Parts: sequence; structure tokens; C-alpha cells
Amino acid sequence: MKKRLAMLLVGFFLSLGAALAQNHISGTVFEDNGEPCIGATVMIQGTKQGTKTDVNGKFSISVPSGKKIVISYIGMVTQTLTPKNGMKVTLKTDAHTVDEVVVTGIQKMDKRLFTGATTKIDAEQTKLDGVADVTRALEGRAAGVSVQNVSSTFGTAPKIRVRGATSIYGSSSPLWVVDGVIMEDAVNVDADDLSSGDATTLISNAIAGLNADDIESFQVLKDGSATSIYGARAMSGVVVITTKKGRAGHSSINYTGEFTYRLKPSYSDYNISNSQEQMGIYKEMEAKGWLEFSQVANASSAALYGKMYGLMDTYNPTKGDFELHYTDADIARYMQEAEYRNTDWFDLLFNNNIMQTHSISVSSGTDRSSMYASLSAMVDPGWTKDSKVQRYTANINASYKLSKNLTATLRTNGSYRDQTAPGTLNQSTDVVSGAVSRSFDINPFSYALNTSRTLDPYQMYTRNYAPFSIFHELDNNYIDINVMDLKFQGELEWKPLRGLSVNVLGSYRVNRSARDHSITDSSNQAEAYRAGVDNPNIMYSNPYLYSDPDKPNSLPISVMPSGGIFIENLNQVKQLDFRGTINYNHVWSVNDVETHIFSALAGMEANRADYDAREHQDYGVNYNMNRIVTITPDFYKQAKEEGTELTSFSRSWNRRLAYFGNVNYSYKGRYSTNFTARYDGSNQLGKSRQSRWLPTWNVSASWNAHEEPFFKRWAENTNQAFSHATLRLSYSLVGEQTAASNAKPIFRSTNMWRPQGDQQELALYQSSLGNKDLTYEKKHEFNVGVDLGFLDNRINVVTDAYWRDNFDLMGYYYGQIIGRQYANVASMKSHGVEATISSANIKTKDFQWNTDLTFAYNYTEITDLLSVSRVIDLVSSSGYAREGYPHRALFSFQFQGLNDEGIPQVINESGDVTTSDIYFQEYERLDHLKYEGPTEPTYTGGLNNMFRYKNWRLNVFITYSFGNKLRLDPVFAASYSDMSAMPKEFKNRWVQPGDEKLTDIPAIASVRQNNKDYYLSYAYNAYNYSTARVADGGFIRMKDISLTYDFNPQFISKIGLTTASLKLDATNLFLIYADKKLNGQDPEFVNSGGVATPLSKQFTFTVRLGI
Amino acid sequence: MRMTRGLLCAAFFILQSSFFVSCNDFLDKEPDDRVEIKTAEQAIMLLTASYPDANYGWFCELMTDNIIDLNSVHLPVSSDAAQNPTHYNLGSSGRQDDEAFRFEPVKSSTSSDTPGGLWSSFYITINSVNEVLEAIERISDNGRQMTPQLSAAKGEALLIRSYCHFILVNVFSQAYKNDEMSKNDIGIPYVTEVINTVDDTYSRSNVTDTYKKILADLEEGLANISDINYEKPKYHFNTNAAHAFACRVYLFLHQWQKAVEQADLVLGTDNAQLLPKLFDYAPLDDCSYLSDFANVWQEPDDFNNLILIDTYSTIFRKSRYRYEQGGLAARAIYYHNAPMWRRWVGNPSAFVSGLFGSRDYGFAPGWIGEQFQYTDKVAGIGYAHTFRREFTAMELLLERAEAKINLGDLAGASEDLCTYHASTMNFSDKTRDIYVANNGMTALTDEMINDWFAKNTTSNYNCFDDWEFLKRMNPDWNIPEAAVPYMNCVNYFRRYETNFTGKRLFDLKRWGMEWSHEYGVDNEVITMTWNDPRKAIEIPQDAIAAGMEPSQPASLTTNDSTSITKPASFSIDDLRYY
Repeated sequence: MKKRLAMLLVGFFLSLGAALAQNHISGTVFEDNGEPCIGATVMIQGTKQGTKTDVNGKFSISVPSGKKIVISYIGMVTQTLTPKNGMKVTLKTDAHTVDEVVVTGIQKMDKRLFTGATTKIDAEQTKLDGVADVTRALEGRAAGVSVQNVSSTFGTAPKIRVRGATSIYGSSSPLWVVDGVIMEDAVNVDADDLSSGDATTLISNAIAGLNADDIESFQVLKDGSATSIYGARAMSGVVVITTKKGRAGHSSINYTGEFTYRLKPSYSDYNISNSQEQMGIYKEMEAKGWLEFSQVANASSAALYGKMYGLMDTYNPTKGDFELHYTDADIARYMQEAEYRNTDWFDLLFNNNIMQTHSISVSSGTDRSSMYASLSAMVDPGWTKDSKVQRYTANINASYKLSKNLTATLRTNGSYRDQTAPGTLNQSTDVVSGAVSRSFDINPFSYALNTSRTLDPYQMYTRNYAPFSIFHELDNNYIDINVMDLKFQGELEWKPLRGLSVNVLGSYRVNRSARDHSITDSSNQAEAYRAGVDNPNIMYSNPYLYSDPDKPNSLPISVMPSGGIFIENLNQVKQLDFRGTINYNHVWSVNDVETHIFSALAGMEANRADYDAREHQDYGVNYNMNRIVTITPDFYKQAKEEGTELTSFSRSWNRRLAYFGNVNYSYKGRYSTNFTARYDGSNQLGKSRQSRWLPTWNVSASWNAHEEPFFKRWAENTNQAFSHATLRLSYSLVGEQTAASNAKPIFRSTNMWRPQGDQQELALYQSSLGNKDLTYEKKHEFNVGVDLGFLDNRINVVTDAYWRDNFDLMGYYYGQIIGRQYANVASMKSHGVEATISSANIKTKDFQWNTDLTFAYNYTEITDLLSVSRVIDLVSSSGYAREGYPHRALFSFQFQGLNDEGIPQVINESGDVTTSDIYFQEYERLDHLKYEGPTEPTYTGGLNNMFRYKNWRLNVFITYSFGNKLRLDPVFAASYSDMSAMPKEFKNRWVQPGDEKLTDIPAIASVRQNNKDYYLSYAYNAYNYSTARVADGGFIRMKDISLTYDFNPQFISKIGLTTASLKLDATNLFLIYADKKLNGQDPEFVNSGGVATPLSKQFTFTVRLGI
Repeated sequence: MRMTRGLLCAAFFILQSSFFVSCNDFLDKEPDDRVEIKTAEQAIMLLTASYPDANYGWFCELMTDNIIDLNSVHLPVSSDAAQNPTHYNLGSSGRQDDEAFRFEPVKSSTSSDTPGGLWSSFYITINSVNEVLEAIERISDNGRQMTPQLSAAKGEALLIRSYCHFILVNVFSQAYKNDEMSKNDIGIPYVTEVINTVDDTYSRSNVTDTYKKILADLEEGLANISDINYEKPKYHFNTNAAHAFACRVYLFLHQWQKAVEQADLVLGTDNAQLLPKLFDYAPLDDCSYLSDFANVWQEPDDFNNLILIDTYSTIFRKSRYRYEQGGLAARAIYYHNAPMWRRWVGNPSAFVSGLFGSRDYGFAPGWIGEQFQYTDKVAGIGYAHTFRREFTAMELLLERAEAKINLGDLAGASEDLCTYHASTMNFSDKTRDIYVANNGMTALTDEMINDWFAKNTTSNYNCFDDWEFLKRMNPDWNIPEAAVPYMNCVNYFRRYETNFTGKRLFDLKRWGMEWSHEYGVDNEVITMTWNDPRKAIEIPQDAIAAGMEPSQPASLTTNDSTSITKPASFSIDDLRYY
């Protein structure tokens, strides 16, 4: 009663605006897990008086009337409350309130003050179990972030775009920031190279060394306002990754075990002919004059027919007879076996096994220090042959409060990866036709897809004139990859004054990747160097044999009569980062209301990254003889004459300096403004001091309508039906370094190639002309964002619309005397909208249903580009830049049906319907090509539904992407070999005159037709690039379905655990929608051979235990 | 508190100032392994790669009377065959070939073997040379510390610059007439400054002015040139090559005496000593593949090759399509009867030289043979190199002969021509037995010149009754009647010697000759008159679009041809078909 009276009095006095009385109150503070919070600080607001809670979490304090108390505890969210005797306060852990803070990697900002477009992703909720690469978890989670899994091989980076492309020829890939440090890529791999399947793609992912379990959250910074603090590095967006920290008052040990089983691909998913159908095709090929004895027996590659002719030529002494006779009966028997063989290459080249990931972490903390440490191991025996991966990571993050106002944080991350990949050489591009090819490709997936099912998997066939079997080759031609990534980081935070903090961060990182490509003695690739050396039918055809130019008419010899090849690659990046910032925050309260909220930041940053790339090749390595090297002098003579580089070194250095600052002001949290400026300098433009600096800036404002008194009243009246409304506006300039660095002319060294080895000369050459006007690529962006909350924020909608003007982009310029030069002359416009809708549909004690939908639309148009786009560029699958069209537009020849011989016809550059009269190099007359659409999706997003019933949790996650066109795999050709596997479309091929009225599938051209028209291959190529071979790239993917069971704490505490859960994930199960024309071709995957593999359908069982 | 604040300020100040002072040093680190030209050795090494890599041979040759359209109705190569006119239906190696053959501006391609490719490649080379000259200025402290090495490098650089502009003016402008007349002909931009921005503008001035600058660079280059820097002299402007170049420039400028003097510096004045310096056919005996022939012709140890210039060119392959050296063109060059090879239907030395092709389609000589540098052996992808024998002792001998004729020294000219011809019989013993034994091939004599080359007859394709047409180029240019056979002989030998090098076009232009092409099955006749604006080849369209003055007046636009075109691919496989 007395207390109540006192309260009344307090109220009374307060209403009079006088605070005279002191109230003694007591209360209890709890942590959010229900435990009492020991040692929490309870302060009287605006004073230095306070107390701490005891072992039971209890406190008592005298509070002047009208004053509030502030309850704080390390790792918990500070609460400011009106004192009330007997009050029970539950503090929430910081992790649950991170939504209120925006982490930009350089600063943490109160969300009320933040005016930019950003999406925060909680790692725990989005993690795809069984997918060790954390970057892939972003797919469909953040509106405006598109993730294309061009290859799923571990270590390869997916193609990630934040709000679409920002540069015409640049990479457009976002900046990755981990715990405040920019992660430099180990190798510079541009967007096209990502899908090349080359071995360097295996080390293209800068953060493949991060353990997914260590990640606390992702923050995607999208618009110029959010990214402007990164200035001239931020044009393509920023993804900030925050790793886990120890929490005060908590100590736990957590274990996560993931066990993943991947399904082998199945022929039922792809439309590859079975061996009967294939045999039918061979019979037609045979009838049309292909597969003749004379032609096939000594060909560079021979499969079914070549092998048969070979057997007829092979005498078996034990049998006392030839292996096969040239009789109808023997041939029929041989062919019949092949016809019924139906080899399942997928089954043979893919493995049944379990990929395991084990991760253990320790977390603890007191009010003075906190610590998080983890170890993880990922052991993948390989989905395909030759694709083993083991990755180990260690992570320590310790924070120590040295004094009242000085905190030190030390972090160490380390990872080591041991991986095997099928031996692969780089793709090479024909400088004239633009055709891309890869020598000695043994990628298991593309092999299974492209190899005839009539072949006997246990037989040796012929490739490059040498014996070949895929299994033998995979055993004898492989790449061992070792990647070590270490990061040491220290941070000091000094708070000398209230509201002022000085932060210093230093970090050193080294990433070292070694690739050892072993090509053993008996591998096909090594044998090719000696194949046919004694066979006059082959010796002149085998390009690997050597004819000495100094001895005219000499017989070709092998320059590597024994042994194999060893190719060693090393890529290293050493990165040193330093950053110092001064931050000042102050809130001026008027009448106890936070009226003027001010924060300012100033800082400088210095980064250096030293890159080192080396390659070394050894020929004649005898793998079975202690790897002793035997080589003939002719080898070096040939190498010299042909300009072969056996050893190469290339080093590069990145130096960046930046000064930055920002100022935020908010009036009562209602109206906020922000101004950011940054001044970047870089060494990448060479020694030109005028080009190297770039100032960037951002101005933005926001209006938090829900903080307005009228809104609050209204919300109260409507029972919070409309509970939140924020309007954000920003306009900014950010930039990006270009790949060009010729502000001053660039000279490099070279060996002048001359046919006579002894006439070669070391020389310097001018690799680039100087361009004093060279500058950064830049982007102006205007962003409007509206955030709405309904039903007491149970439904949240975040929408953004943006208009971008990318200018000073690199493009081609044609000068008066120098032809094509690369300079800042192009521009591009883009715009888009994004929306994220999160809704707690049902929220009861036992049952919850949450839905998250993300949606993004992005449209780009190249507005200014002087570029020669040749027909061959415009029609090829990755699309090409052309003024007036979206970034990377795809064009097609207009298919005009088959002619009466079954040859495809298209419209050529003169407007005529033709078969082979087509000029692929044409660049002036392009009207005959049909514009199909962009090759990059314009609509992307995801839909997640989470259902929780008591301890069960079901998550269904769908991703989608629309608006792009895809080129179907180029499977048609003027001639085929007896090794090729034909797709099922061939069933409907043209066979006899008249069929052209019924089918669009071209005939198998006869030898005669090929001889009659030397350019027949043009007709088939044009068909591959025609309107008949385009599919819609849109898809809806059932990305992940997971079911989780959390054990009751009471139940598991009996066995000493605090948390335990089991989870079953089914990932990449199926495509809900994809164009039927794709026939199993994955719309995301680029089948380029080498080391590329598509997404696998997989099941993961996860156990999580906590002590 | 004040203390803390002071410390903070001090710390921040020190931090900032130390970085401000050092930040430009910090950022001065080069981004990669690029080389800064700081030493004389580096400047000299930059010159090694500062030779133009474009070949003007193919598109110039296409415009000359050395090439016919096989699709037009034409007579067979050999006069011994039945004279049945025939025609084919072949594709060209690209639309750019149709354009060049029809004397139209080449718009369809700017790749190698086109005027556009030549234009930018030569100016890139000129820029590289200008970089060297700038570096030499820097290294020598504006000439105050010139070393012999630096001055030799300066000489080489100036000669390359002079040479590049010389070729450009001969390709893209009208031929030199005289100082007055040539002031009315558009020249080419003479670039002596380093390019440091993409949108610089240049003036084309006039031919007289351009030649003045060519001559200035040439003469300063000659004064400085020396062989001291060269380890592989044949790939550089060595002293001999420099004099041969000077001889050619003086010849083109009608400065006959100077031309002879320069040639003498290389060839000497005693022709008896000359033969061993000229081409030796003997090693050709062992050759069977194109690359073998190319190796012999492009041999750096051969004195005859004064300089070799590496170009990216597929000229040999391009000569195997629709426009070839067939029909009467081949007959005029080597497939006719001549007193020097009475018993043979064609010139035996031409056959020994490695003539590829056939009588049906036409020929191409082994000296333009391609050298293939692989980048991917399996795919057969790489770079096609054609080494231009830009200056040879044999050609220099013919140039000296021409200068001597113009000086009135007919005896001297006769001696040079006979020496030239004697060298074409420089066979191995084995080949000699086939061709030379029993007077199958006889040495040229002064009488034969005066007899065989006297005037135009039905079987003597390269002779004129007079050389009065020279007067069109220069009213003072007079070839007396007695000298006509010698000029005819020079014309014939030059036509053979420069076959497929493109230099025939320069001769046709500077002599003011007229010729025509027959195009297509309808034998459309396209004639090139003596002062035809189309003789100045049009610069690339991109350059015109960027504001450069065109070579030809705007009224000269012709319709695009719509013939069948096929692109050539740089695949080694193509070579195997021959």
C-alpha cells in the first residue's frame, strides 16, 4: 500500500515536473535462458551511481523519483527501464538483437540511423547443411543478390551479383569483408573464367577456407549509401561476414556433425541415347561413308569402330588367331555386344559415399574476457572419381578488456585444404573463330554426358593416337591441390571519453595454393608424345611428334620417349591491412527525450596485397622410377623453337590507401541524415599520381514515420495494425578499380619468337599505350526504400527501388591512328526493385509458421559502347556486350527449317536463306540475328517456409530465377565420331526427303555432302546457334527441405547435454519448373569440362550437440 | 582528461602525417612485373620488339596485276596448254579480299593482312619507337651523356620510324611525283610524340611534307646507325639494311645518285665479288614442306637477306582462295618462254624456289612460307608468322640498276641486271644438271636485254614500247629509247623478285602505270588509271569515324560486294591441304 502510494506520489511529482523523492527499489535480473544474471550493472540514468546484481541476480538501489535505471551486462542488450520495486528483468543476449545494428565491417550503426539498403542474413537459419561453401547459402536469401552455381566443385566461386552487373567487361563480383578485413581473391578470375572449368577456378573462392559453423551472420550492403564507406571498391556491393564471438557469462561446447550422401546423376535425367539408339545412329553414319576402315584405323581418336578395325589387325599368339576376323559374322557379333552394352558411365564415374563434416567449438566469457574457438574437418571422398576433398579449419577469437576503456581482440583463422581433381589443361581460344577447346579433357561428368554408351568401359580405345580409357586416365592424370589460408588479426578499442572510441585494426593473411598436376608415364597425355613414332600412317599426323626444322625431310621423333609430365602451379597472396578509426557518438537529450542523435566517424585504411603466381613444367618424369627426369635435347630444342614456356613467374602488388569519414544526425530518431565521403588511392594505375586518387561520397536521409507521435497514436488506436514505416533516400557515387593499369605506358619482357631457336632474343615490348585519362569505373545510384511493419511487426516488408548510372566504364575506343584501345568510354544504366516480405503467419506456443519471400528485378542496358560485336560473339552461349541491349545479350540465327537434304537453313547476313553461306566474323550487318534476351536472370529470389511444432521444425526453401535465355549445348555437327554420344533428339532426325516437313532435327550429313560443301560445318554451327537451340533460362528449384528435431533440455540434461538436435536436409532435390527444352541440362551450370561439376542432389543428416 | 585528448591528437597527427608523407611512396609500387625503361640496355631491348608486325603484302598484292579472280573467265597459266578460257566458283578468304581486289575501301576487316591492321600496327610500332627515343633522351640527360650504344639505338629507332612512315605513305597516299606536285596529295600523320591519351588528333599534311620528315629521320638514323648493339643483326636495322632502305627512299624520290651510293655501300662496286652474297638455291634441294622452303628463304645467316621482319600474317593461305596468281598473271611472272630458259615453259629458278599451287589455280612462292608457332598443339592453334625479307641484296641490285638507268649509266645497269640473273642460276650441282646443262638455261647478256626486252610482243608480257607514262608522275622523268629495254628488264625482274611482297603495287604507283582487274564470271573490268584516287588506299573506317581525313574523296563510294565470303581460320590443319 505504502509502495503504491509512493508510486502514486512519484507519478504525481513527475507530473509536476519535479523530482525530489528517492525510491528504494529491488529487483532481479535474469538471462534469457532463465538463469539469474550475476554481476549485471544497474545504474541510475544520467548519473554515476549504481550497483551490481548478486549471485541470485538480485539488486537493490535508491532511485530519485523520475529517474530511470539502466541495466547492462556484457553480451546482453542494455535496457533502460522505469524502476519498479520487485521488478523482474530479463536481459536478452546481443545475438538476438543484432537486427538493431547494421554492421558495415568498418562501423556498427544503430539501425535507426542507417539510411542505406541492406539485408542481414542469420547464418544459422540459412546455412545449407552439406554445402561446405558458405557463399552458396546466400542464394535466394537476400533480395537483389543472385547466386549462380556455374560449378559446384569445392573451391570454385559461384557467380554472385548484387543488383546485377555494374561493369561491362569487369567482374561485377561483390567485395567480401570478413570481420572487418577485405578478403582479396587468391587469383583474379573474371566472370567468364569462373565458368571456364580451368583448374584455377578451384582456388577462385576467397572464403572457401571459412567454416560455415563459425559464421554468425552475413550483411549484404546493396546501395551506394550502404557501401559508400568502401568508396572505390564498392561498386558491385559488399558482403560483410561476421564470425562468432564468445559471450560473457556463457560457456558452452558445441559439436556439429554433417553426413551427406549425394545421388549419382542418372541417364533418366538426361536425354542421352542408349546404346541401341546409338547403334542405329552409327549404322546410318557407316552407310553415309563415315567410319571407313582406312579413315578410322589411323585416326587421332578411335572408339567403337576404330577398336574393331584394330582388333582385326591384332594377332593373338596364345589364341593363334587374329582377335577378330573381317567377316560379317565377327562384325555382327562385335556390334551386337556393343548394341546391348548400355554402359552406365554415370554409375561408373560417380561414387556412392558419405561426405562428413565435423565441427567443434568452445565458447566462454566473463565480464573481462570472452573467447570462441573452433576446429572443423570436412572429409569428402568425392562425388566423382578424382574429386576428394579434405578441409580443416581452426578459428580462435579472443577478446580481453585490458582496462576500463581499453579492449583488445585477437583473432586467428586458419584453414588447410587437400583436394584432388581430374587432370585438366586450360581452355584455349582460337584467336580467329573464337572457338573454345580443351585438350585432354577427362572431366567425369562431361565424359559421361558425351561418351557413347556402346563403349566397353574396361577396354582401351584411342585418343590422340594413344591408348585411352577414362578410368586409367583418371588414375594417371590428376591434380593435387593444397590450399593454406591463415589470417592473424588484432584489434584495439580505446574509449578515452564518453561517446568517443578509437579503433585500430591490423591483419595479416596469407593464402597459398599449390596445384600439382601429375601426368604419369602411362597416361594418355604422356603417351601422346610418343604415339605413332614407328607408324608411318600416324607419325606425320601426330602433332606431338617433332620434326627438326634444321633437318629438312627428317622423320618425326618423340621428344619424350619415356616418362610423364609434372606441372606445378603456385598461387600466393599475402595481405596486410591496417585501419584506424575514430568514432564519436553523442545524444543530446531535451526533456529526457533523445532529441539530437549524432555520430561521426573518421578513419584511414591502408591495404597491401602481394600476389605471386608460378608455373613450372617438367617433362620426362618417370613416375615409377623415383620420378627421375629423362629428357632428350630435342625436347628443349623444340620447346625453344616453339616458344614453349616451361617456367613462368608473375608477381603483382596491390597498394591501397583510403581516408574516409561519415556524419550522421538524427532528430529524435525520426529524421536521419547521413553524409559519407571517402578518398581512395591505389597503385593499380601505375605511377601516375593524377589518376590514382578518387573521391567518392554519399548523401542520404531517412524518415522513421513510426517514431512520429501521430503515427504512434494511430498505431495504438488500430492495435498496431500498421506498426512501422520508414522511408529511405540515398544518392551516391562509388567506384571500382578497373583491370586496366596503363595510366602510364606498360612495358614487359618477352622472348622474340623466331623459327630458328638460336635467333630468339630477349626483348621488351610495349604491352599497353599510356592513357593519362585512365580512371576508376564509377556509379551514381539513387535508391528509395520503404520499410513497413504490420500487425505489431509480425509482417515486415522491406522494399527498395534503385536507378543506377554506371559511367566511365571500360570499353573500346577507336582512335585516329591506333585502332582499338581500352579506355573509360562506355556507360550502362540499370534499374530494379527488390522486396523482402517476412511474415509470422501463425504464432502460438506450440506451432509457428513463418514465411520469408525475397524478390528482385534488375534490368541493365548498355547505353554507350563502341564495340565490334562479331556474329560469333553475339550468338555464343555467354552472350555479348552490344550497345542498346542488356549486359550480355544473347542473339540467334533465325532457323528456317531443314532443306530437302536435311541440312539446317538459317538467314545469313545478306538476308538470304542458306545452309552454309554464313560469315561468322561479320560485324556490320547484324540485322539477320534475332535478339533472344539477356543471359543473366532479371528476376531472382527465394521463398522460405518454416513450420515449427513443439520440437519439430520443417523448412522448405525454394529459389527461383527468371528472365534470361540459355543456349542449349552445341550437340550438332557436320560430322561425328564413333565416340560421340548423341542426345535423344537424334531419334527424330531427318532421314529421308520429306522429313523436313515433320522435323527440325538435322540429318547426319554424309561424307559426300561434306565433300560437296566444304563449309557444311558452318550450317551445323549456325544451327547450334540458332533460334531452334535456345531455351528459357528461368527455373524454380526445390533448393532445400529440412526437418529438425530439438531434444527437450530436461531430457538431454540427464546425459550431460544442454542442447541437442537432429536434422535431415534434402538439397537440390528437383526443379519445379525449367524449360522442357533443357532436357536435364542444369540452367545454372555451365558444362565446360575441366573441373566443373553440376549441383548434386544430396541428403544430409546433421547432429548438433551442446554441453 | 586534457592529457588524454592531447595524446590522442598527437597520436592521430603522427599517424596521419607519417602516412601523408609516405602515401605517394606507398602507392608508387608498380602493380605488377612491368618494366620501367631506365637503362640503355632496356631501351635497346625495347627496340628489339619495336618492329611492325603487320604485313602489307597480301592486300597490296591483291590490288596489283599479279593476281586474278579465278571466278572470272580466264586463260590457262601455261601458253603450252590449250587456250580454253575457264572460270571457277570459289569463295574468297574474306570479304575484305573482294574489296581490295575491286579497289574498294577495305571495310570488312581490320585484322592482319588488311589496311586497317597495317594502320594501327604501324602506328603502335611508331609509338613504341617514340617511347625509346624519349627514354634515350631521359637516359642520356637530353643528349649530354650519349654513349655509342645509345646513339646506335637512336639510329635504329629513327630508321624504324622512318621506315614505318615510308610504308604508310606508300600504302595510304599517292606515290611521290615531285616536291611541287606532291604537295597536293594527302600524306599520312607523321608521329614523333608519345601517345598518352586515346583521343589525340593528327593531321595528314601532304606527301612532300611526309617524305621530308621520312628523309630527315632516315638521314639522322644513318648518321647514328651501327651494329654494335645487335646480337641477332638480321632482325634489326643493321647497317646494310639501313643503306638498302636509304637506297629505296632515294630511288622513290628520284635522287638517283644518292640511291646508287647507298646501294654501293652494301653491294660494293665490283659485281664479280657479289655473286656469293646473293641467294644460294642449293639448300632448297632438300626441301619438301612449305616450312622447309620458308626456312631456307628466311635464313638469317644468308647475306642476301639484309633484314627479316616478323609479321603475323596468313598471306600464303589467303593466296589459296578465289584471288590467286593464276591465268595470265602467272604466265607473265614465270610461266612463259624466255631466252634465258629456252627449253623450259617457265622460269626454272621459280620452280626450284618452291612454287606451291597448281597450274589450274595459280601459284605462290616459297619465300612467303608461313612459320607456325603453336599455343595449343592438339587443337592446332597458334600464331602464323610470315617473315618479310624486307630488304635483300638481290632487290637492292635491281634498285641500283634502276637508279643507274635513270642516271644514264646503261652499262652499269646492264652489269647489275646480268649479275642479278646469274644469281638466279645459283643452283646446287644436282639442280644445275637438270636445268642448266645443255644450255637449258643461259646467263643473261646485254645483247639479250636489248633483244628480248626491247619492246612489247605477244609472249613478252612485261615490256613496254616506251616509258613515256613516267612523265605523268614527273614531267622531267625521261627514259631515252636506248634505256627502254633496261627498264623493261628491271620491271620484269622486280615483278618476279617482289612477288607476293606487295611492293609491286608501289612500283605500279610510282611509275604511274595503269592496269585493270576482271571481276566475276561476267568479267567486269575495273581499271586503275594513272592518278586514280583509289591508288591511295583508304584508311580504316574507324579512323575516319574518329575524325581522320580519308585518303579518298567522299564521292568515291562504291557498292558493297555481296559475293560469297569464307573466313580463314588460323589452324595448322589448313596448311595440310596443300
